[in-house]
Amino acid sequence: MEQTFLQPHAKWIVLVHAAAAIVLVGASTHNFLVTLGYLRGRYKARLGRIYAAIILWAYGITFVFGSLAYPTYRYFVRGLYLDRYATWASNLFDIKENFAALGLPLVIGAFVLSRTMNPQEDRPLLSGYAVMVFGTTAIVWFNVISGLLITMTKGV
Amino acid sequence: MERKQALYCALCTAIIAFSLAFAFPAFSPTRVLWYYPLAHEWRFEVKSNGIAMDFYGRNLLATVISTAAFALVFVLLRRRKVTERTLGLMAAWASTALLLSMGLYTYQLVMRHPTPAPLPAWYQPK
Repeated sequence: MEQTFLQPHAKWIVLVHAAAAIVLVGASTHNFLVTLGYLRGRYKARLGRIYAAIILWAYGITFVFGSLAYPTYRYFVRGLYLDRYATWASNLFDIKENFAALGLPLVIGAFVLSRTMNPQEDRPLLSGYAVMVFGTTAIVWFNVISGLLITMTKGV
Repeated sequence: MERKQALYCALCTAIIAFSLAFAFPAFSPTRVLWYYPLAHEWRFEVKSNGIAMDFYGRNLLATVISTAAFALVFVLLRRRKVTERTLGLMAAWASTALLLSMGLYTYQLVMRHPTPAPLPAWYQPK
């Protein structure tokens, strides 16, 4: 039988990937609300810094573990099953993985800005910060829902 | 404040550079690293031959370009005053580049007809 990188451990890798994604969806939604508060004149900057740090770690873990499971997914899930029986799921996965990569600079940017700017004094910087935080939240929610739909169709 | 503004502009530039560099191979033939999961091999090429993944290669390309763009903008702007209008424009350009890249991949992938891998003798679909 064919072997891919870390294939015997793929289920555990995807489990850690999913657990980190649960943390990520919670933290990014909370950070979205904190940032909405900045725009409306309510400044919970300490909370914003904490959520940005949690998001950085959770996104990093989700991304790395997802990348480690990817070779197994590519052959055993996509190559043998999804591309033949559920092409919509195969295409949705590729959209999701591209969105996840595009979220990387947003997460890093939001983390760095949360540590350096004072949302009350540096209001001109808030528009870019909001782009980073809102973009991250949208990508995370899209990816979590897509990931669930794909895994319901066929997992590793 | 100049330092914070320079950092902000450099981060927005990194988002623009990453989004465009990541999407570039999708519309222009570019040599990137491909990983062949069954052969356990890496190849530097424009198109794959068989089951392969360019995700890592495109990430590497975008990371290198966006890091260089970040460093360049930060060094150029760290002792200069940036206008409020420029700060707003940087956010608008970053979100536009991000949406363009996301839109391009969605457009290309949503109607794709992938080629499945040949079924091996041991395989039982379930």
